[in-house]
Amino acid sequence: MSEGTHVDDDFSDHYDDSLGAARRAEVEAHLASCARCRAEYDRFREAVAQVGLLGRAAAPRGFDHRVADAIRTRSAGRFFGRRAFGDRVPFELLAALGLAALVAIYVLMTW
Amino acid sequence: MSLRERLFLRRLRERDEGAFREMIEQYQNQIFNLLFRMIGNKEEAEDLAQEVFVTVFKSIDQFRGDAKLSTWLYRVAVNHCKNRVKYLARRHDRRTGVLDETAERAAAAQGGEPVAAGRIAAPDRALEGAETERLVQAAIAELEEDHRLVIVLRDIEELSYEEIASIAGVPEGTIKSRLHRARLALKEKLGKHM
Repeated sequence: MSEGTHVDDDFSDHYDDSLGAARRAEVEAHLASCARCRAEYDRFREAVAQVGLLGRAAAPRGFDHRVADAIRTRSAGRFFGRRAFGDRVPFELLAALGLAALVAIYVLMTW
Repeated sequence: MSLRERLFLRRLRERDEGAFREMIEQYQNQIFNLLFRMIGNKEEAEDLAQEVFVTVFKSIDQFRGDAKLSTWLYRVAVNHCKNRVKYLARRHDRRTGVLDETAERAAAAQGGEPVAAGRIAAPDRALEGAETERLVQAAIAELEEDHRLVIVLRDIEELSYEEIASIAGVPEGTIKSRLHRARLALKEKLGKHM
């Protein structure tokens, strides 16, 4: 490959390492010999790397609750309703209290 | 789709609140990040992300399960985003995409006004920390919408070409060439500051 045949069209695939082996070898050989393409590819790689460094912006705190509130409001309370005992009724606790009450009543009646 | 995923989808279709909470918790950062990077404003992004999840809740029956749930969520988010971008353009809201909260914080720290990509407050420190982030975000905001989308999905979210093609509804080859042009445009926009 001559220095006149620049490889700008392959920059993205080369960066993603998605060129075939033969083409990759050609591009790498060209980059080694062509100062213009090497400089351009260095700028290309730096720009794309900077985007990657942005990282993922996290959703604001409480976002999930605000989504649930929106669904509850728009469904007129059919979904995501507020519950007196939190997310679920504490059946185990209610059963234990009921049993204790029955035992207490039985003891009082037989005493 | 695995058995676990099928069971999870069934719970979503039955409007199981626990399943929806799990889904929101699992995907809220991806969806918020996509919208924030596309729009450049955290308040708009949060409002839009909320709309996305409400839409998903209402229309989960339309998800046939032939793609990953995350792909479908991204697709819903992209559709909402395109509509919002058009709406904001009609409103001539020029703040979006240029002045995000990071930019304002960075500028405040320097005691100056937030600036756009073409004006650098401190050229000697342009590649450092929040200033670099602001420049990169501003450069992304200047890209065409389709270019912005592939840059965010590929170079930040690190999705495969196949998944991006499925989200955007275009062939993989189109995504590859679009990404190439987007990266070249980004190189030119950032090049003058590097």
